[in-house]
Amino acid sequence: MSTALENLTLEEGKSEVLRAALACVAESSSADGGPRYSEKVCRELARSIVCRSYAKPLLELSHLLVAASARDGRYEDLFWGVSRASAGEFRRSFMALAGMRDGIVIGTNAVTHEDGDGFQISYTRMPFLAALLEFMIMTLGYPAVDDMTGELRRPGAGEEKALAAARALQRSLYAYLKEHLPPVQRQRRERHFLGFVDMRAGNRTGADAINDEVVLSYWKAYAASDEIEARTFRAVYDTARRLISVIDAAEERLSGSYAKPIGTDHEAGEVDPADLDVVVCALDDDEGPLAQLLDTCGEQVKFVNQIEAETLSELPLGEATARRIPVSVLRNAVFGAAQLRLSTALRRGGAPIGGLPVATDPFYRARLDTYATVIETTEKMALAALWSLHRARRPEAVVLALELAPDIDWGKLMPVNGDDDNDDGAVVSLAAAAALKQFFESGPNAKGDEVAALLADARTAWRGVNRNGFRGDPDADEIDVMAAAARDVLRLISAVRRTLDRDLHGVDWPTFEAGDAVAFTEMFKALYESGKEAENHAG
Amino acid sequence: MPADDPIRKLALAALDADAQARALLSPEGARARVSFSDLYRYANDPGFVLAPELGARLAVDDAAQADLAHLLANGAFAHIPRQAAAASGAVERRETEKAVLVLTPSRAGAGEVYLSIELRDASARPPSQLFARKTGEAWQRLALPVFSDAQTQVLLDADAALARALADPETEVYLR
Repeated sequence: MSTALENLTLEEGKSEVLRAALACVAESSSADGGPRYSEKVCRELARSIVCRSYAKPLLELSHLLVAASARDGRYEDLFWGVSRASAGEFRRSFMALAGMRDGIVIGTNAVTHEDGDGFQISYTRMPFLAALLEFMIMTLGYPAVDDMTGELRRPGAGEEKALAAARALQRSLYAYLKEHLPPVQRQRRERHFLGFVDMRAGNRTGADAINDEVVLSYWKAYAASDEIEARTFRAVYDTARRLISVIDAAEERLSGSYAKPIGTDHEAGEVDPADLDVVVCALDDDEGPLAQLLDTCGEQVKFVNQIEAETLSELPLGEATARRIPVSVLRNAVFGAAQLRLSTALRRGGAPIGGLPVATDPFYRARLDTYATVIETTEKMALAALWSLHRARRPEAVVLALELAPDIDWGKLMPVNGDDDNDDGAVVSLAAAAALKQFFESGPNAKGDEVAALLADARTAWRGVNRNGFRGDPDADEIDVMAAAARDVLRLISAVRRTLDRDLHGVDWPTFEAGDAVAFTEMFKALYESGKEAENHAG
Repeated sequence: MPADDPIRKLALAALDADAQARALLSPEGARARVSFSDLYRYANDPGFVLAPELGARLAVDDAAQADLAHLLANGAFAHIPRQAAAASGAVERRETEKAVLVLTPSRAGAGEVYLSIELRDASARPPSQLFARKTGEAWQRLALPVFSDAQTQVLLDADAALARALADPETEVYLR
């Protein structure tokens, strides 16, 4: 026993050093006091460390260090010269290096190291690579990292030097993690749930076996059990949701649609780090575009306010969950939230069970109406952003316009002199440029053509909102953030619409409302029959 | 789904890995080190002040001190190494190819010294900070006043850690 305890302490000690290094990266602040690296980037960093899938990122980083050294070899000035590690800030910094070194091409969306086959790194990838570099320095030490990457600072550093540096970094990180990354702990809750699913699967396999009936049955069976922690419906729903995500992703990954690296033996139970990384990533992707939008916007541009974000976060906006367990989505939103309130109230003073939805209430349908109302507001915000970005002549205005008004005859924007009636790429580009120019020269007019009318609607929407980034004359930073978030907000609108119209539409909600109101009330009474009991099992 | 199904194995391994990644990022991992981002700003931005708790951590964190020393050396305007072993007594003058540093007692105020810095190349872009470290001790930092005709001067308390460090032959100095 004492040996087991000693081992546990040793493992905790090992991970504490690694945790401190990651905490340093996660808590790095920008000049304005906000986080230097987004939560998403930090999660991605931790994931690549735990999955040991850092080989490719380190190669990307090595090529990026060559590009970042273009001015005088001091890549640090580019990486830490930006306050917040964002795609926009890296784009601006690299643009200032254009033409400074042969073999480095600074593009609109990416930087290319032209040597050998050429290596391209997009600006959106750079925040993660910057965090990886900071993590490498925090773990291996700056002198050691500088030593391994010194060749990359020199003019003419090519593909071979980048590869050699990446390998050296990889070897050092491998050795570090051997010392500091403890073995993973098996997640008992998911395995227990999956065992329950297996017993009821019948002919169904994979994530198909996880359905609304299984989720509810599992909760009813184990909510009061000491065998496993499954007291709240929300916890069971989250377990099911996570399993659906990873099983679907694993199935897709192993379906043979990509080339397996040589040397990985699945038969022997080996898990390829790249497979692992992709499947873990699916868990983040299941959160959908809302997290990405909030990440891009920060506090500067409020496409979505806090209440709206909390409401939309109830919807699983990835591809699979709402499709497979649509009723559980709303059960979690309504009764998962009610259980949380209930257990909190009981813990604070033993309030009786009350205020729960009753069978005659259209509570699920009311929740669906709430989601629809919120996303209508988001669409209005996107329309308002179109006005602002159009005034700033940002190309993202076109992206918004095409998506928000797909029925408009955009051909009206094309030149009428016949330049665009052949297939010559250059001529098409000229036509596109002319169309863009004409779009930005259009003004708002409710009685004008379709584009003018759209702009009039956008102006009206702008005037009707009063949120951060959407009032007065936005400054350049706000415009940058708004432009960067344009695609994110469109993805959010599309994902919510898909979830509402495809996954949650067509369910017989009145029947579920009648049945669930009774079933959940009975379960809550059984679980929380006394305040004392609730204190012992805080939900 | 059989227990040895590769899809099941990969899926569960992913959940285990995700849990570990989240645990490594949990707030329980109280920050115990100074980040490189902070060190970079400390080395390059005279207006940046390390929070007191970070300053205290830096003083006792050997790894961070080594990172800072390397950062200061990379791209420094001038480096003035420790004096030769034979040197003894207080140092009043330090010279390199780039600059001359002179410590002069103030006539007006007892217990004060002037630090004068003169650049040898008047056309060079002048440094904005001075860093000094006595062997085995933490780095001291000074934001330099604007140079005029390649010269600048600053009044220091003679008992201040920086003034004592500059007078010590065991101190190395960087101008950045």
